[in-house]
Amino acid sequence: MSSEQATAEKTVEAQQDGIRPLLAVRDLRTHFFTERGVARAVDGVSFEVFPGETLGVVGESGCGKSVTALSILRLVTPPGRITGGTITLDGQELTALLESEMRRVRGRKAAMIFQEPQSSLNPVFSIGFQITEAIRLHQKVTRTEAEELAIEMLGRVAIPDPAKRIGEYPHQLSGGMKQRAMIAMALSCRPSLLIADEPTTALDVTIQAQILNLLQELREQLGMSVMLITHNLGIVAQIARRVMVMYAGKVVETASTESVFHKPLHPYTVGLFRSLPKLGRKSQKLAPIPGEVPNPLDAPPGCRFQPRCGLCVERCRAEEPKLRILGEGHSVACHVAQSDGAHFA
Amino acid sequence: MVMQLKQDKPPLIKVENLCKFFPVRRGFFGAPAGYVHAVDCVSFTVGRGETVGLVGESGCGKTTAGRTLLRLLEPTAGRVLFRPKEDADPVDITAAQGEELRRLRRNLQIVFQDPIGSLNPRMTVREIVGEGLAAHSIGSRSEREDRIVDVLKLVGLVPEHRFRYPHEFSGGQRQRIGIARALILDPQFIVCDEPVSALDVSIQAQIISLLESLQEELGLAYLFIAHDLAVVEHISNRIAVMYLGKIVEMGPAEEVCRVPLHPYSRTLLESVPVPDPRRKVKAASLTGGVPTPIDPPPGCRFAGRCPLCLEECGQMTPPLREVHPGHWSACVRAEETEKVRAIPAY
Amino acid sequence: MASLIALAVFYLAAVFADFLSPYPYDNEERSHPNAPPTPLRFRRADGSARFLPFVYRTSYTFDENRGRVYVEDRSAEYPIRFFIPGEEHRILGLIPTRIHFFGVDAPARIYLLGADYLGRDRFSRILYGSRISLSIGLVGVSVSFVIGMLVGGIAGYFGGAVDNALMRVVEMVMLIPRFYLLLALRAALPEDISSVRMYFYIVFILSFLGWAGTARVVRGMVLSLREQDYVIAARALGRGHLWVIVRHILPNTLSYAIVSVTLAVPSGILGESALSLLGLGIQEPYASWGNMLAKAMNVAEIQFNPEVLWPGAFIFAVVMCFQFLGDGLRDAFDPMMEASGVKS
Repeated sequence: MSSEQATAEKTVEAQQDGIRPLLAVRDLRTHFFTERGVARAVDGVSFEVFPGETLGVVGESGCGKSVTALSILRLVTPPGRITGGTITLDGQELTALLESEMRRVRGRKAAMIFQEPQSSLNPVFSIGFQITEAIRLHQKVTRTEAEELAIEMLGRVAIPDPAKRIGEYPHQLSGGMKQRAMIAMALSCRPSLLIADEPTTALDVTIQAQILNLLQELREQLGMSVMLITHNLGIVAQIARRVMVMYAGKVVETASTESVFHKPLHPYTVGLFRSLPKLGRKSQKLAPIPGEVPNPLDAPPGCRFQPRCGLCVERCRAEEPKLRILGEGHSVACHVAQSDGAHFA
Repeated sequence: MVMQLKQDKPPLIKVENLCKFFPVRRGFFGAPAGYVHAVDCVSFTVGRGETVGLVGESGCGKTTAGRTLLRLLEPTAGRVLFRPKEDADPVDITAAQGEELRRLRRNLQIVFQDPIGSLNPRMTVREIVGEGLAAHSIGSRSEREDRIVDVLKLVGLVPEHRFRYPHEFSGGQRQRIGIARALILDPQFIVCDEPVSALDVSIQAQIISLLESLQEELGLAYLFIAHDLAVVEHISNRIAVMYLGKIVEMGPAEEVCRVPLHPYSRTLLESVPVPDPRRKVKAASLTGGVPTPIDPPPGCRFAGRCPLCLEECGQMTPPLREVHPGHWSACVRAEETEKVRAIPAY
Repeated sequence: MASLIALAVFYLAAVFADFLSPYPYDNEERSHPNAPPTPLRFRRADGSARFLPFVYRTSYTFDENRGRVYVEDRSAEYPIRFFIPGEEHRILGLIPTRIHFFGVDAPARIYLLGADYLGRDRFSRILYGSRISLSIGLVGVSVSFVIGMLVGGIAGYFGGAVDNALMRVVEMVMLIPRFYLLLALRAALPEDISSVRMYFYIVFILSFLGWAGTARVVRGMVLSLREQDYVIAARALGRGHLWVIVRHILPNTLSYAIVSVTLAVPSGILGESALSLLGLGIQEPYASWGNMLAKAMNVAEIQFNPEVLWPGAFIFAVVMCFQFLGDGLRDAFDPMMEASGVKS
């Protein structure tokens, strides 16, 4: 372990009063080796998830948030490959594990739910069968015991009449119910970390509210940690304790939710807020971030946000900014950012 | 049952009792087993230079309403009156045939949600944007070229882009191409069917700003269909809320979003996750599922999930009534809904 | 890409078969039945080397089991000569000439892949056979494709009762097992006909087999393309139905069409081979890969003359080439490929 990493970990531990993180990702690099070049989808990402907390990961499409999630479970498929960094889950280093060992981690220690519940459930098996299979994969239980567990899980995710629903097939369930079934399946082995990748994006707003509530309740009941990936700032504000903002494969800002929303320090984060229409603030003009997300095959030099940034200085074009600690638990990867936000004045 | 904001000026578009039913067939040659009431007696107006927002959850019929209005789907019943000039007689779009309909289309355009599926992958941007000119045989070759360049500049693209194919562009740029295609015939009215739903927040803001400035510059009227309430409120003058093929509430944007007069609108608004960690949202407790839109029984369609439901709600369909000037609701207990606390801004 | 080059070589060879082959397909040499491939020699009897290969004249004797054993007569060398005069033929059916690409002077004969039971050069026959076998697949599938596109397009675009009726017909055709249909159709045609007419009958049979599947897929594509936003946009701009079909729908089925033709050609080739193999297709003395393989139906024949399997090897190679080409084209034609790139 390099000294830089050691200090980083020390700082984090100091911040968390010595609580060891459940998941610690250090300098993760996941690159895609395409015919047209190397896309550095995730490029030196470090963060941690502490026991029992919800970490919100926000960013726009192509920022690498989903690839980060897939990398943690080592589910990145070629041409993508984890090219560097460490992923420590519950004291276990995941990048070094064999595929067979990794299979025991998936589902049991860390589980994942996806955006599209309909494509995540196999249409030819009943949901009950799929959940019991998931349980029996990791736990030595009989079929009946597994079935009882599955019914209990379906009840926990507030699917009405679980004993009856267990025999139903995915197409018989609505989108919200399918996502509930997915959550039940993901949580059936009581993982300590749940990675939720845009879990409500495909759902209507009323159903979304229900699913988010459910996720929070379950997190409290089961004492698990949640890594919630979304592009929706509202969702993050509502259920995350800490937020990590990503842009073009890099972490640009990490802080408590309160700080990110009320004292954002990175120009990109601020740009996001200014782009967001807000209910009841009709007269407020939107201030879009100019330009487009950079092509992952051809990232700009220096700071990756520099071509779209209004505060860009010479140094931003030459040197890539590192995450700097600018407040309690508040790190920002920006050369011009100041802890009091004076750079926006 | 037709409402309009500015009573003094005749509206650009006046939709009267528009219906679109889709037959549900069973078996090979069987008669329809029923009809999906996708759009069920919908009436509203759009004024000149006005934006009317149409919101609702997936499957509520908002997209079908937009397409039926433009005669891209044949309406089952109802009329759509279009008044090309303020002092001209209105033309019924639903009755127009052949060449007349084709000429009408110059004034009525559409922008789509999907920035990939809405552009023919085998055509260059020039062909895509210029198709309207070709369809109506407008201008000489060089005049068309000039017009294409002008429109591309108008939507924030550069003239060199016209030789490229859609797949060479990002989502936001493709949406600009789609807007340019709609603008080329200089229309008065554009149906924007979820134009920003597939875009990232920062790009979404760019497109919204573009649509706003185009409206200002060209005097366009929009029917802005979306499910994101904050976006709709931001861009619209008036909002219509749809639930299962019916408009349940309609009124000035700010009023609808602050003091909704229908329990469904309220539920929608209260479900929006507020981007402020200091204001925790108590998720709406909607019970029951969305009923089937196939031959729905009489009565309020929201009755089964409504916290304020009365016995009579299940028996007769409540009509839209004007609770406040310009603010209509299809709820028998609209006045009570209003007394619940207003939706706070964030 | 390699498969494209390989196929080009196969088809060019078919076109110039008469020039490339040392003998006409029906040139018999009764003194050389089932001759093995003629060994190409580079070293003279005295041990000195020759730059160009030569052959010896061969003749057979019987061994103790009354099997034929071919022996070389080492007294005279017959060098392989290029652009050698032989039987008269017409290149591309136009230019009369006696020149063949290669050959040896009589009385020696060169059998690169051996000779069949009548002493006809197998290599020459494979070349001539490729004319039938390769073209019949292409022509048959093209015809079936035109029918399929037409029926599928009509059904998809007009929908409703037309769609219903056409699709039921399609299903009826698809219900019948392919091979029985092939045989049944063949049985419905007169038995004793010239090979030229037989060629056209086989084309007819093959296209009758293929169109139903195509029609179904095209219908599905047209149905979904009809709902594409850009089709709706074109209608909103005031375009008529015909324009929409020609400009927006058909070009987008084209890539599928080409890929599908490519993948369907092998089935045409195999269909012809199957008919000819059973003796129901191209008749002797005309050569096709199928009727040449017919000899390989006898196990003993394979045991004593494994060379009879050569046409099979060619069928295998061509079919593989078409499959690879189809796969390659499918990738190349996908316009979304470049756009998709890397997603988060």
